Amino acid sequence: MRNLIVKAEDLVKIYQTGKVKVRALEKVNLVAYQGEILGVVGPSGSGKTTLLNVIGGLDKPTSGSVVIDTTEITRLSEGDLVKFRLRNIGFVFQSFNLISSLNVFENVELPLALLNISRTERKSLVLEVLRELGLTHRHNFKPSELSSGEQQRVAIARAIITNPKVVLMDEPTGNLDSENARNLMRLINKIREAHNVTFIIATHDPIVIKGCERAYVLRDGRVVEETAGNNAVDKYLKI
Amino acid sequence: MVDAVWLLSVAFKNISSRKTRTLLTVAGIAVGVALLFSLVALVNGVEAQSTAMIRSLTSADIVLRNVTIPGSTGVATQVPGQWPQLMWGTVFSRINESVLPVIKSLSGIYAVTPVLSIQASLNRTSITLQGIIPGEYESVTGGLNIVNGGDFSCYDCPEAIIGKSLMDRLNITVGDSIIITVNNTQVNLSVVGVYESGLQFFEVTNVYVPLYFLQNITGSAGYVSEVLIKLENPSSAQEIASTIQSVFPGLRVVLQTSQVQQASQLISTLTTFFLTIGLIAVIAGGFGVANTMLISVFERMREIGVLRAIGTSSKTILILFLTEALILGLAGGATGVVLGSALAYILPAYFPLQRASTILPGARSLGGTTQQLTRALITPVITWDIVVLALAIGVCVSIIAGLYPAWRASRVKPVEVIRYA
Repeated sequence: MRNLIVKAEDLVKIYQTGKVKVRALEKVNLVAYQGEILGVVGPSGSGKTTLLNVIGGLDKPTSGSVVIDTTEITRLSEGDLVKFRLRNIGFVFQSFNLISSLNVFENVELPLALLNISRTERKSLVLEVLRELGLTHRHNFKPSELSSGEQQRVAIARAIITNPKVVLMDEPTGNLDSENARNLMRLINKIREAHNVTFIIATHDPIVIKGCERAYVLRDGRVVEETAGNNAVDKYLKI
Repeated sequence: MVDAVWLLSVAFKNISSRKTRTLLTVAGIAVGVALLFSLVALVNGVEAQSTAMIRSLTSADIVLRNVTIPGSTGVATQVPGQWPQLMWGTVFSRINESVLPVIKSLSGIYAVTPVLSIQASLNRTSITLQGIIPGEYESVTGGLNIVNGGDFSCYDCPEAIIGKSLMDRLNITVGDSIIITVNNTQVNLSVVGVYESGLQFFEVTNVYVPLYFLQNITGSAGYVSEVLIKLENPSSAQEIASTIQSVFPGLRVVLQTSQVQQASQLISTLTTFFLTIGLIAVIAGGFGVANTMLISVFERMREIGVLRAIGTSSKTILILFLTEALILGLAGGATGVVLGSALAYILPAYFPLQRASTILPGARSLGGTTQQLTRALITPVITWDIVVLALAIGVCVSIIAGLYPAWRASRVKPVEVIRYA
């Protein structure tokens, strides 16, 4: 029996622009287990990114709760939430979002420096992760000098460097070709096995969906199906 | 608290990744700081030099000068605020020696001595011959600080006491002969002593000779340039000065204290004026920093959002941007100090030459040409405290200018900028 790492209950998120209210999430329930690769599948505007933002504590739900491990993050103050994210949640974005002025090593080192870990320990941890992700030879390169696949790997290295409980990925293959997308899924599996970390991936890429153990299929802010990754492809394609 | 070295390194990399913009911003601060620094260094110099010059002028309590304009025969009407003209006249104006016994007879006078100042040249260098009466001159001023050789052997010998700086410059020593050109006549003088005043310019341009000798060779017998008066009680200077003025209405009676006050007032006005100009320039540079940093914040919204998302506190973001402002301020300040030092030495060349005597009343009595005097007076003095002040102003203005952009950066909500970026 795997440990429950993420539990989202009755999540509602309403955006208000002027007089217009947009219900981005409608009573969404979701669970993710330790070491699981979980997909959040759906077309554009279905609420995938909003769900990830709420689970990751980047956005507050209008109602409902999110518990990560044993902490109900929806009750945390902004300051505590920042600290919690730093230690427990890794983020990987579609456009990688690396810091352009820093090189690969420094980008990966960033969360460790924010945790005030000693320079020696930082160096050792970063080099270990870069080796694991095959980026050692690129450690001194700036993001602009890397291929898309390499940039994505750096983003993943930065996300897992603090050994978080969960890594949230928003359209991680959006800027990758199919070959790189397959490589990414292989890498995610490898990391999952090595670190027992949970991945929650918002995507509409069939290659990624197939690589997920389970997936939640979203439509108009509602979960319409919770199913195995392979099945989710068919469900998603029908939407 | 985040590792300060790491934070500094990240801030530095952020700045250096936008080289052109950073250089322009630094230049904006540097120009302001340089202007401020050079002006303060110059005012510092004027202040230091004028204090030394006033000391060198004479230690007499009262100085009596003629206000006769060269070429005129009468006594000029004294127009308030026209010091330069009066000062220029000092060297050439003459006072009849007949005033001396009258002054000596006044009550409260301790000692009186005349001085005759005549322009001359030595090795094509313009100098001023100061004719003094040994003994008398000493009783009023305390005498020359002779560091080598001795005093004049008689009251009208062709002897000279030269400044140490002149001695070093012309490689002259006690016992040597020097040829002075005065009124197109060459005169041979024997160097009997070397004095030190602590003021290089003064030592180079002033050569002391016996008064009667100077009067003889210039046909000025019976006339002097100024009369130095030492009082029994210096606190009665104002009162005695009024008495002298009433006895000799055509002469200018100058109190040493009033000279110091006048000089201080002018220097204080100059300092305020220059500091205001400099500060305005630095503040203008500050607007440049604010603009650059604000643009930088808008450009880096996404990066800031990512930093916030992965767990960077708003406080750390604020510190990061303020550190960038600090680096810009330090770089601008340091560049400004270097530029300002150079500017402080270049600017005096463009000062109107007669201005020296405007700054320091009575300065003409020091001898030398107007040009020499101006150069000596407007010499920058660069001290550690003005270096620190310039750097501090550069940094403070930069940080103040960076406050709003840094605050904006710290308020960035990751979900908004990552979503819309």
